[in-house]
Amino acid sequence: MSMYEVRLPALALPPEAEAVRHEVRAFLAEERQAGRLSEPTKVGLGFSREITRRIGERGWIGMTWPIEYGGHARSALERYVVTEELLAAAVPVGAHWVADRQSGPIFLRFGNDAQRRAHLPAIAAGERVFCIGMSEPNAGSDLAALRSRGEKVDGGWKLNGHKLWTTNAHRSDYMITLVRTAPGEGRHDGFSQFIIDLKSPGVTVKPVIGMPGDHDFNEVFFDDVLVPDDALVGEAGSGWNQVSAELAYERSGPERWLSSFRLLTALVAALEDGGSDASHIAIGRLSAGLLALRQMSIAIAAMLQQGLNPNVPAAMVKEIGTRFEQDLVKVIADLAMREGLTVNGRNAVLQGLIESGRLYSPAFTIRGGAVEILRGIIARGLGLR
Amino acid sequence: MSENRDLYAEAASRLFADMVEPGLIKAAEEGSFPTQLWAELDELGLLSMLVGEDQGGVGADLEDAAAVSRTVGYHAAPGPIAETIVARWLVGEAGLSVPPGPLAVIVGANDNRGAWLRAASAVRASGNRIDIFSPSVDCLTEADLTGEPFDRLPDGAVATLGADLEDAEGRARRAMAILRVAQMAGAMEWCVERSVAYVQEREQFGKPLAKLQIIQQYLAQAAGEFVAADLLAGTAAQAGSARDAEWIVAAARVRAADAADVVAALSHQVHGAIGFSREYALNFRTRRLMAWRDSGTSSVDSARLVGSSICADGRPPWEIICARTAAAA
Repeated sequence: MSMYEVRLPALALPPEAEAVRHEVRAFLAEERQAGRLSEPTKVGLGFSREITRRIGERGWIGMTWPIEYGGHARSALERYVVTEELLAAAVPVGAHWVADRQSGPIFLRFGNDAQRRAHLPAIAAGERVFCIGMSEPNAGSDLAALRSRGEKVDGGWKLNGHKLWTTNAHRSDYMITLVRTAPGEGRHDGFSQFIIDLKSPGVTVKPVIGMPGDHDFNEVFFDDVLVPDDALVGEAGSGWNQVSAELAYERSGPERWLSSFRLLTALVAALEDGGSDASHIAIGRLSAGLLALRQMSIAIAAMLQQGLNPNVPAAMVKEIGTRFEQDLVKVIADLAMREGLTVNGRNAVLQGLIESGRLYSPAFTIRGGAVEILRGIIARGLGLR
Repeated sequence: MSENRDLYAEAASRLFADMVEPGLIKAAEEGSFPTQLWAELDELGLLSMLVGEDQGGVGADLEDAAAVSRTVGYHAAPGPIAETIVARWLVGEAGLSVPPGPLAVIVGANDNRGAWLRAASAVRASGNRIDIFSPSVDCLTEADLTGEPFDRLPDGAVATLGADLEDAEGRARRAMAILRVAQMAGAMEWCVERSVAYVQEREQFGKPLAKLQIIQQYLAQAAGEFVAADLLAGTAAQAGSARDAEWIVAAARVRAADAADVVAALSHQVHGAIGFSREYALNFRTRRLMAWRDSGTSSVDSARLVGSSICADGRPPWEIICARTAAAA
């Protein structure tokens, strides 16, 4: 095959996107001034309904969605700039990230008008939090092995099953979940997506404490949960294709390479006398890696803008980006030790971020698609599978 | 943006596909200059592509030259092609007449090595000055990892021509770096393409290697590294040879070096022993990747430039990265 199909164009951001960048930075400066944004002490997205609401007020959630659904009809590149600015500044964006990135687009692409009107304006206002119910105890990387099921009943569907690793389920309003609704001939047949109000009877959310010791993950049980007919998203039986499209959104964003960026910011701030030669070389290599990932994400945002499917390049960004994040934690930890930046309790923020980075590192290459699964997607793009 | 970019690259690619076979590369690596290839390149105008039309050149831009350089790397085309393209441009800019034959570029007053000095005139760019040295029978004949001649000017060599040119050294350094990363992208592209084809042809354990998941995983990783490096090479070419492009160009070189290490290692790994043979074409590309990753400005010097600039700036790293990229676009 020719590599021509997998190459990405070098694109510059248009002036209107750079203009949004200044607006976001001014907003963040105000928030910091007012004491509403604290310095991050760990890696990851963070969660704050309050900051999400204020970001929604500024029109930075659902930016690309039609105005009639509460969106702002902006370009994917303008949205891209907002996402990278919020992440680079370590703003706790977890309360709207999933809905802005994939739940909303799923409604726009596969949902009906009533579903769009019911959810998109509330999401765009930063008032409604969504989570994703895909993984299960026996369906991790092998998502098609999932067993949760939906049964057609009078006036709706009855759901039973058990979801696992559901990020933020305990502080979300709704979940979009994938369940089996028909036996299906092929492995990928017979799946459907449903919207579940997490306050519904029969839904139980239990915490799963992660290795770093915090509560982001959950397991979610469905016991005869009744949902109305209009909770079905798209068509019954088309769930697999819908989820594949959704996962491309999930994997294409800058969160896959910016979730640990705050370590670099903290390191550069902690360096004394401008830093040693060794630190310059290491920071230079990290910056080059970051720059390439950023250009890739910009190219993918442009593909989304044109309505193209960025499946393979999105897998590449996540494959490279998550390895980059693991490398970044290690390189910065080594540099901090080499330069003696964290001895005797100095630069406690940097030290805390390094420790947090070490603890989260194993998750980088697993969450949102294990690196081996992503390579499988790329290999298929190369014609090897 | 030049409308003719694809035409230049296609013309070069066609020529190389016709003429650059292993025998030609090997002969060049044994010191025999590819005279006929050179004549054809000159005939097509590609060696004068950066020279202004008013000076008898093509008047193309650095992005065009980078597109041609990609094909040089892809085909492992021998001879100082990128060097001659840059040298003719600098000599023309300095208002000097272009010496006949191949040209080498030497950057900085302290360097005295260049490609093919036994056959090529050396164009040294140092500070705000361009100096030209005739091909020398007295030069010290050496080679770099490409295997092609990389000679040393004799001690006390005297320039035959010279002129002042604003920022000659910086322009030469950036232009050469841009064409070098383009060559690297081309060579990596070939490595990934050939490896993908090879694992489908080669059977072991009763099935094509491509059926083994680990092989698929290696090549997926190599392809991603290629795309990342290729994209920054393109970004660097867009930035051009102006002073404020220095940072992006250096970053592109660092990324290309990191990618080349992975692409070369994994391409060899999936090829097994045959890839290590001098008879199989993979080595022509991987040896060039090993040479090009550090030729001119080394990858470590490039990384130092990128990193020290971030540490000296005073703004948070994120602001610097965004500002530098926007400035270069």
